[in-house]
Amino acid sequence: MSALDFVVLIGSMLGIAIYGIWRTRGRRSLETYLHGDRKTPWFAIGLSVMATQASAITFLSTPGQGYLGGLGFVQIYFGVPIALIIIAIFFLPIFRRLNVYTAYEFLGRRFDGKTRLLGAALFLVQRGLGAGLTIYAPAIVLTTVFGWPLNLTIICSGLLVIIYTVAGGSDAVTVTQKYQIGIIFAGMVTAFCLLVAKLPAGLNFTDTLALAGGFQKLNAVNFSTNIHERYTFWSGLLGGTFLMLSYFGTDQSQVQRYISGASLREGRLGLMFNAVCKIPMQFSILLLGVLIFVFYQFEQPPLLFNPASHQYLAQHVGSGQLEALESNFQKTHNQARQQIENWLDARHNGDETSARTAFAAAAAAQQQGEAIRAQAEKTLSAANSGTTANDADYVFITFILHQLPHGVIGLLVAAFFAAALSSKSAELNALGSSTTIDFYRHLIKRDATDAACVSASKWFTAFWGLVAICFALYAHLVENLIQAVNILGSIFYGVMLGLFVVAFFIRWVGGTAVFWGALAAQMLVFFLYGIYFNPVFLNPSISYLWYPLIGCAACVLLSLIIQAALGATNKPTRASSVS
Amino acid sequence: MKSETEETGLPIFRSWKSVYLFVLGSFVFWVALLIALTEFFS
Repeated sequence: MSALDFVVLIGSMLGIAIYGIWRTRGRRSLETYLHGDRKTPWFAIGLSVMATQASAITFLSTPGQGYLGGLGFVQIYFGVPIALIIIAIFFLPIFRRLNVYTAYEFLGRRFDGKTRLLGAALFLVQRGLGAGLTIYAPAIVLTTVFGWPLNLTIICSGLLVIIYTVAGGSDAVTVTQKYQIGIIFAGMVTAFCLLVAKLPAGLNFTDTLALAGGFQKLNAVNFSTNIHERYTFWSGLLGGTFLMLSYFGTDQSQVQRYISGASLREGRLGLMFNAVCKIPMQFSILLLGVLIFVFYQFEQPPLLFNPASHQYLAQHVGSGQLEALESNFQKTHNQARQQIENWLDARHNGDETSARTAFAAAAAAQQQGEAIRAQAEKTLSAANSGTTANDADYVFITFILHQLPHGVIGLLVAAFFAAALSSKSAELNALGSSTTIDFYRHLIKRDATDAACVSASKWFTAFWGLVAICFALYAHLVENLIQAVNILGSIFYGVMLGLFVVAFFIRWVGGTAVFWGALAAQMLVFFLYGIYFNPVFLNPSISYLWYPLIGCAACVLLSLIIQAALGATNKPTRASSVS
Repeated sequence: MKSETEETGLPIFRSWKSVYLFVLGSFVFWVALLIALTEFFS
């Protein structure tokens, strides 16, 4: 990175943070600190919800998924519109009517104190444990590529987000997210335009799609009913709806964003903005990856995009073997490129037979290249006890670094950090709010004044921020970190959603039944994951998208059974029912 | 629900039902586009 890139990066990050602190100075009441005075318009809510969900790894890794696997990943977002409509109709009006600070406060009013604590505890465990990843994941990718000190990057970005989130609370999160998402979009649109400009002159729009489609990169929708396939239309629509309903409806980091709207209308429109924009946004990011794939058909790609993997191979496998792999890889790439150019000429001349023959030869050469890449990854894995190249995370940053001009590189790195800070600030704000409202004010100091709660919320936000930094500093000790945290989320989300489904839709179930039903459902999910990780018992490849649905269904069913067993004496009174 | 009868304040979509139908329509449009991409270019 050049001096210009650093000026763009540091200037934009510090500028937004300082602006956030300045704009929210003097927020002293609990209402303004946690709800932002409820003046947020729908567009700001929409951007805030979007920025909270889209972390840095979304923008770093998703183009790599498009490059390697094509558009199929977009199916995971098919549940978003349906889930957000359900939340807009049922969840949001009740959260607003009860004027709650946290989603779990609602559980306390509908059921009882222990159910509220269970919901809050499930949130704090899964969000608290995953807190470090939002900072760690982009830091490890960027420091590997640029050679920055990892710990210093984590500490600096972590402290920056703590400072402005603690200072300004919920409003600071919303205010800064608006500008952070602006930088993210500016960076991604610039990268997209420059990439299109870099494609060969003779390649028009339909040629590009035909080339990508020929290599199976445009297979966006798969109607297979095989539950072992991770991304299908059905797992996206059914499993994805439950996953998104759990995330947007019960995770305080999202709930806090849309309940801060000036009115019910503003919150709803903010959610509908996301319901409309989410699929095209993810499609565009994946398409960017597919276009990078097309670009690298005409330009020599590296054997492995992860420079650390390449360096490790060079040091531990021997330069001779690595050179042989690279030489073969280059040879197959040149063959594929030659055949693609033949295909293009034949296609433009209307010679379909020659075009078909040339494309088949290009596909065969491409397959050989992929086999060489797989061999390099296998060699790496054997040399470093199971380590994978994890190339998807490095495809986009490699393209940026080697193909884009200075200034734009700084803008895109700023976009990745903006994404990391925006989702991190919302998480810390939610963790601080829930710890203050659901534990401190509910359990420790029931008569706490607003000023004491604001002060406690600041301390808890800083505490969770420091936990996140510590976790990120030691994250390298945990293998398969991203997978572990994703699975962690899907373990808890289903049961959390089950608690809310019972609260909203099954009036005759009371607190005791739902509390024990949720605990039993959580045990069931733990048991299933035990089987998931033990292939002796079962095929371990059931998509994790199905687990929120299983957890939710188990929680609802068990609550019904327990309530039936307990009988009428434990049913809720009319006064305790809020739905 | 009472909240469903409230005005949306939008020029074309005056009821929440029409807003939700628009969202579902845009979802169907994107899925159809993705299916077309899958079918035509594979």
